[in-house]
Amino acid sequence: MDQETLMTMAGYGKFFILLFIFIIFYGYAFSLYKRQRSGERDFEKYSDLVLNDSLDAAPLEKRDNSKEK
Amino acid sequence: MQSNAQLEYDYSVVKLFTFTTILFGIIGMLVGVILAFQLAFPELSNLAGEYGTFSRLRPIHTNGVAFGFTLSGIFATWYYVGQRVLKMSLKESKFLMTVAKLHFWLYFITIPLAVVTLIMGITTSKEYAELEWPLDLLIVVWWVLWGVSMFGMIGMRRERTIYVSVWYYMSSFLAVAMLFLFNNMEVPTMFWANGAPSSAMHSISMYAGTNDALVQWWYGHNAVAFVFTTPIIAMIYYFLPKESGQNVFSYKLSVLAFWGLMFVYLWAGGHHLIYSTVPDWMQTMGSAMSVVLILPSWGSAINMLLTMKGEWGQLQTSPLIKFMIMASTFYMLSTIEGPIQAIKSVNAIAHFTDWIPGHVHDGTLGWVGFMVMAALFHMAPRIFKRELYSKSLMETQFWLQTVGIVLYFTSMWIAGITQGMMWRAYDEYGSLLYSFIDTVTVLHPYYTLRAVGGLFYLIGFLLFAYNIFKTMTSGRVLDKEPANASPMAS
Repeated sequence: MDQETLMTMAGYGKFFILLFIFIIFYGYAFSLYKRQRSGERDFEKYSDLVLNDSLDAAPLEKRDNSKEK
Repeated sequence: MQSNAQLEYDYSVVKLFTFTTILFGIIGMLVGVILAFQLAFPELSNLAGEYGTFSRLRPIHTNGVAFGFTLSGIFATWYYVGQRVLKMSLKESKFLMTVAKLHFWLYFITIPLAVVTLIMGITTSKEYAELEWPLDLLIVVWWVLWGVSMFGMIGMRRERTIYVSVWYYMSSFLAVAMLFLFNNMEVPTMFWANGAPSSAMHSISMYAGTNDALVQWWYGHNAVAFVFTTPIIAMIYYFLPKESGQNVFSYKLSVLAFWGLMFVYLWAGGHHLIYSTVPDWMQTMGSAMSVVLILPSWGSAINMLLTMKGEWGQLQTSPLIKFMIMASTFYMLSTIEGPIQAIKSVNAIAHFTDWIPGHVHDGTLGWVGFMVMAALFHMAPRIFKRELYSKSLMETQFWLQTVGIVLYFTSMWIAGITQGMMWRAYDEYGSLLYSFIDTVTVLHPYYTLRAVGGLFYLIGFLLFAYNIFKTMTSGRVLDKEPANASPMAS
């Protein structure tokens, strides 16, 4: 394969890699924002995991199996 | 599990790792400053025979700051942040407490052994993976112990949802484990020497030539990703909202940026081998992935800046917020600079020049160093139950170190581009215009400036160490844990 063909293929390769990642990124972003908007899941409340992090604060979402003895 | 009311978080391991962060920070940075002065004034290389030469000291600097200072900071903050966001205490499990302490002591033994072997010239000669095979085995043991404690703590958590910082710590654990094992596949020669003399401390890599280079830079670049980036993002996602009392601007963006980084970073290492013997498509991929990397990197950095929305006044009143916002800003700078350097045409000038260490240091000094110190400043009043000793000392440190970093990277930008241009310059007959020594002469003032910048940063770090020491020993005792802004005496 000559140098020019190789460079052309590398060029196309670069374009399609970028396109592929672009679609994956934005697809995932869209799904996150859609789930937030439809009320399926509120992602923003998880910031409270930092602000209410003392050991005696009530868990934001309790684990099902964390039964207190 | 015991009732929460009788429990409190256990900071004994946090304290141990805090001490080593400071100790190894001083040693690693001091050696760095010595190296910078040696580059400017080569006669300084002859002060301690073979033990004081650049080649012996350089791996001590890189290993010392990456695996001594930074890793200690990562472990200290993990045992602090991990317990708090998972709402579990190490006191609840004797097993996990033992594992955490063993993790610390084995780690603590490894670092002096690393220093001694490196200064004796025992090295695999693989950059950032210089330690020989017996030490590599020791590292595997404490890395596994860290994993056991991490997943053990996650298993005992009270919170159902795992906060994004913990994801970043987990990614660091898993990725470094994989990178370390594959890059350090080495054959100890003594077992296969067939009677020929061979040192017990010598091994050869399982890979050769171009393959070795590929594995090496897949490791080398991702050591940047999973030691200098993801765990530091883990820190800022906890410490900035906590210290400022603000919600993260967008939790969704934090999750999106996380998966972006995970997906893209592992493919970018090829940019270290542009114009080398590795396949062209791999160089192109490394270059393309590096450019894409701007997206998730800036996603996290902008998310942090926007977390301060409406609260920018805190930047004036709290030096701790200043450190974190400056860290985030330096993260933005280095993550736009890296992709620019990875573009093939720019790389033709930048490769092998001083622009590369310039880039590395605005990331490590500005982003990693500032964030680790900010994290330790935030933790100090909580783990020692005392007020921070001196706000004015923090301010002085901040400005001294900021000026130091600026001197460092601006001098290296100029030096690097000058070097790159001079190496490539040729006359109408195609002959090179300059010899190598011409570039060395021209670069001398910039090397001196870099060394002075490094010295400023080191002095700032000593102020930091003194401030933490005084906090621990003579800070005003606090009767209750501060909720957000860390209390500091003027």
